[in-house]
Amino acid sequence: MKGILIALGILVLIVILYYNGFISRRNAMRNAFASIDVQLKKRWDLIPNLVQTVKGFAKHEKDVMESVIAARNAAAGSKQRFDCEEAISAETSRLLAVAESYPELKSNEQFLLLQRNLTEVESQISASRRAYNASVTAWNEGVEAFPGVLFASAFNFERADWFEARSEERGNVEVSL
Amino acid sequence: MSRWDIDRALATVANELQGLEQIRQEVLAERAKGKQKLIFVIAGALVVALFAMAMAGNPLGLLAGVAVGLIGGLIINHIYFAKGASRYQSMFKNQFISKVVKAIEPGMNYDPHQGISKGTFSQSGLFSSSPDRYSCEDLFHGKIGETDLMFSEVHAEDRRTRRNSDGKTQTYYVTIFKGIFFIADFHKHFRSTVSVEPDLAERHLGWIGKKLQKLGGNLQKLENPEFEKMYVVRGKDPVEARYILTPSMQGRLVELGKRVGNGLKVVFRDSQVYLAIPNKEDWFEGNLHKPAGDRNQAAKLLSELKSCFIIVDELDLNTRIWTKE
Repeated sequence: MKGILIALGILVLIVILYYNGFISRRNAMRNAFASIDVQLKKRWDLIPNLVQTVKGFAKHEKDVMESVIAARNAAAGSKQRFDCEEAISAETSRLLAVAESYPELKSNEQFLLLQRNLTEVESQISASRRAYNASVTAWNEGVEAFPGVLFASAFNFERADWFEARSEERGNVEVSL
Repeated sequence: MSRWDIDRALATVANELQGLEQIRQEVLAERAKGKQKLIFVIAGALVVALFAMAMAGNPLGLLAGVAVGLIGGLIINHIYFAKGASRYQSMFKNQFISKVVKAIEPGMNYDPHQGISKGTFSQSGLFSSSPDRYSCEDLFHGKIGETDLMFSEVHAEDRRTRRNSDGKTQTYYVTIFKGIFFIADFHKHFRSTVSVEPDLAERHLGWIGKKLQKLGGNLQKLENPEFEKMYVVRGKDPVEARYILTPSMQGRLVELGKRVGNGLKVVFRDSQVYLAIPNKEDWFEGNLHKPAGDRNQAAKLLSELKSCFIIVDELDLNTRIWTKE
């Protein structure tokens, strides 16, 4: 009887340890996800200033600026928030490319500062995504590897998805000469 | 002509070479005199020993001879050997190395008698304890491109005690670090501390070592498999650890680790990067037994300087596209 109780106690302890391990990994994953959001918000706040600055020098690039603002506004209330953020990335890159054709804009201090800030935020977004992917890897290892897989199915824990670059971002950049 | 060219370096110090060579010849002549004096001292010590033994009538008189020999030897060593070597070394460093450094990197300065302070070394957190015995020399400091940096040779030791077979306590010193200690301004702002240390556990214990790493806490697993095999990364903030250690920076640290050999330790703190590069040799020294303008000596010195200066490029510290200018 005593032996059975000890074995049961050990079993309960293992279950508790595994469960707590899963919860801590899940929290790390949620925290990493939230940190991406913080950085995306920073970029979101930068865009109006950037557009305003570019507008002062490149009035003819109206369509590029409108696309950036449209992508930003779409991201605000969208359920596919992160897909819209990809669109913002693409549009802001286009906006920065516009600067190449305007030497005065390229040397404008306000523009240079915003460009640095944007590069900074993009680096932070990238770091946040990588941190999120690392936490997803740790979570998925727990969910899929033995004996974690037994607990995962018992508690209905499912594998999570990584952030992946869109196929068009992965492809080679075409440069026409 | 490359700034690392030997002929260019020797041309830079052409005016100083003659004076240096003259000093070197004087020092060598002094040493030759010292050798003669040493022979006299040894002969004198032998006479004293024999005389003392004859007077005392026992072998204890030998001690008097040894004492005379030791004291005389030390005085001669100081006057004819150590003093001269130190004089030449000092001139070589101040005239040769300083000028070559300025010619290669005008923004850099060289102070042979200074080094990274013990406080800075301890505060870096690269080594768990503050050293009990510490020495440093050959401080290089200034700016390369946009990057402020300084580095010097450092020898840090810990004091330990042990009991010998007679039960007496003996004190001895163990080296915790000997080599180049390098500090540079990092090109990004960050608040937390991220350490990159050799992955000894995984290297020696494989899978078990990998599991053991987790016990140290704040372990960050990064994407580059080669980097992961070489180093273990710890940092409280996973996002900041990745902000600093981008995939490109991981690759750069792998290459740097391969170049400087195993044992490279790196810590990122206070928006600076600290590197401890182990090195058993004594760098940035002139060789008294080689002419001041010797090409091999110049080549060795250039290679030592280059090995340290190119770290700025190897870690891409001059790229300033982020908010830190």
